[in-house]
Amino acid sequence: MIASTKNILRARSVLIYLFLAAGTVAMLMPFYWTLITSVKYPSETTTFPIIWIPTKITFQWYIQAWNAKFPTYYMNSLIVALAVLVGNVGFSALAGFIFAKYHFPAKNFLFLVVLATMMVPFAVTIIPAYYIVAVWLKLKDTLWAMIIPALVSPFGIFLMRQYTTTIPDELLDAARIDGASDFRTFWQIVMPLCTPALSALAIFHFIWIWNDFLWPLIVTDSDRSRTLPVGVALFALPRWSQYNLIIAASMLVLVPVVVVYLVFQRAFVQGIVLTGLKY
Amino acid sequence: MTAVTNARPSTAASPRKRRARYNPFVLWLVPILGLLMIFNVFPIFGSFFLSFFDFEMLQPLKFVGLKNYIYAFTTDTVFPVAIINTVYYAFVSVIIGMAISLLIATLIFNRRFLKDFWRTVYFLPVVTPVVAIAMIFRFIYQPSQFGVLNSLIAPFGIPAQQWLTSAQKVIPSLIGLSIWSGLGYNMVLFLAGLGGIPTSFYEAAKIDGANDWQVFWKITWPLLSPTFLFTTVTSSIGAMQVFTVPYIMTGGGPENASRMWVMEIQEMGFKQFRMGYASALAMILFVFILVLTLLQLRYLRTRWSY
Repeated sequence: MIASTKNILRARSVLIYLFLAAGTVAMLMPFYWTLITSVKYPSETTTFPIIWIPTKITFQWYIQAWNAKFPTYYMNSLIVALAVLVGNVGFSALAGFIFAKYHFPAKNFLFLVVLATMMVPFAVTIIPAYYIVAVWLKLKDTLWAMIIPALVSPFGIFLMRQYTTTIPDELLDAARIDGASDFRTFWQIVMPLCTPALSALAIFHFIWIWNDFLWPLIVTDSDRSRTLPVGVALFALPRWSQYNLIIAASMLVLVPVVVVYLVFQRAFVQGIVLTGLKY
Repeated sequence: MTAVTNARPSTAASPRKRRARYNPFVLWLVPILGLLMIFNVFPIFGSFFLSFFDFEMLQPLKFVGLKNYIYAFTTDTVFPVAIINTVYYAFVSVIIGMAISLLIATLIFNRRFLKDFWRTVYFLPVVTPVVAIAMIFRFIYQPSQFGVLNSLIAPFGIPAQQWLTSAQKVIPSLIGLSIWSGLGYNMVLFLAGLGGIPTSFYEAAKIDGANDWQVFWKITWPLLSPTFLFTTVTSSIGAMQVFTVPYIMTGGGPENASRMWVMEIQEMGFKQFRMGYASALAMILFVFILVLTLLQLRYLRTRWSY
């Protein structure tokens, strides 16, 4: 009977929506809890059962966290993230373009090396990389220590090379005939055409660098170069008993990234897909 | 392709020699790949080299051969525990995480409403800084009855659990967190993979009278296997190197119950300054991951074509 099959399908559909909604609550609950705890008074914080809607709120935790060097941490994270973003995207695009459209000896071998580098676990490189940055270059406890190693990423090069290959050669030839130099061709023709890949790469790197913890932890010694995640963690460690303060500090770390994500999410998800499916 | 003059190698028959001329624009690759070599390639060899030495940063290198490796597996009491913890964590979190990601992806894919909303919500924990997540969940996992998670399960009659302070429960708790924070990533990849399956297959199957289960196993699953392979490999590599969450949440857990491989490397290298030993541990990790990846590529790769 058609009517009952339709009803079964409809019931199943509703159930799935309910399931997804339940999952949404599970996903968002920790964020909501963080938000309310960051503005609660301690008296309402460790209660049983949890108070989901606070009766009175305060921003003192934010003020207190902010006064503990947070502007410095923010500045550092921002500078490092933006520097890496600009540098990495630029270099990846340039390298990808050269790999895609130019011939030179050992080109395929070099590209294979780039690919192979992608497979190396980060943990394996940290000790020598630290030695290079801290001892040879003497850049310990500076922002450069976090910027320079991140300026070139194998997957950036890989992604841009894949993407640039799709640009028709005729376009580049036309530019050349019109007298454009290689660099100008790159800058004025190739780059604008690669905007989706570039923006995906930019956002990806911004978020990756902003959230990075292990590397900044080992190359920074003092507050003057600490980035946000490390600063917050070290701030929190001796203060575990002050829940609200720690949670407000966490909010300060995650809000910028969440905002960037919500604004750029389409490009971001596209980036994940672009990188994921070329295997 | 005319951006460059192609070299024409001289053949034995023609004695003419022609010098290859390559566009100097290519030289831009030198600083770029140079940076890559310095920070990504050279360190691998550096680690390998250092692992055979005692290296205390400011003191001269002392060659010790295989001593570090032997020590790691015989005398060191913590390292074997770290291996077991890490493998346990990686294995379970990858398998369960993937199953759930796949489930959610298939559910979202077939919905008509709010697809973007679901995707945004489930992906949100992925972009959240791990540091923030670790701190927040340290409170959520509080063992007392006032802990958030305990408060939520109390109405169901479950007593307050020792999430992070019990040696048995600490790694499962970390696994739970990794699933919460990571499932969005694989979910997005699966969504893209699902989008790559031609709808004509589904239509043909429906005409042939296949039920949902058959459709999934005979069409969806085989055609998703490249995506599945990719997510498995990348998730495993990431899971084996877990650091930030256990570092902040448990610092190694009750009596090293949650001490992970990379934590041990960081401890040895940057707290105890035994960099030679830390390099050896890193090398062992590298080999482990390499073998694991090769095994996965060998046994999980299937070629389906319809």
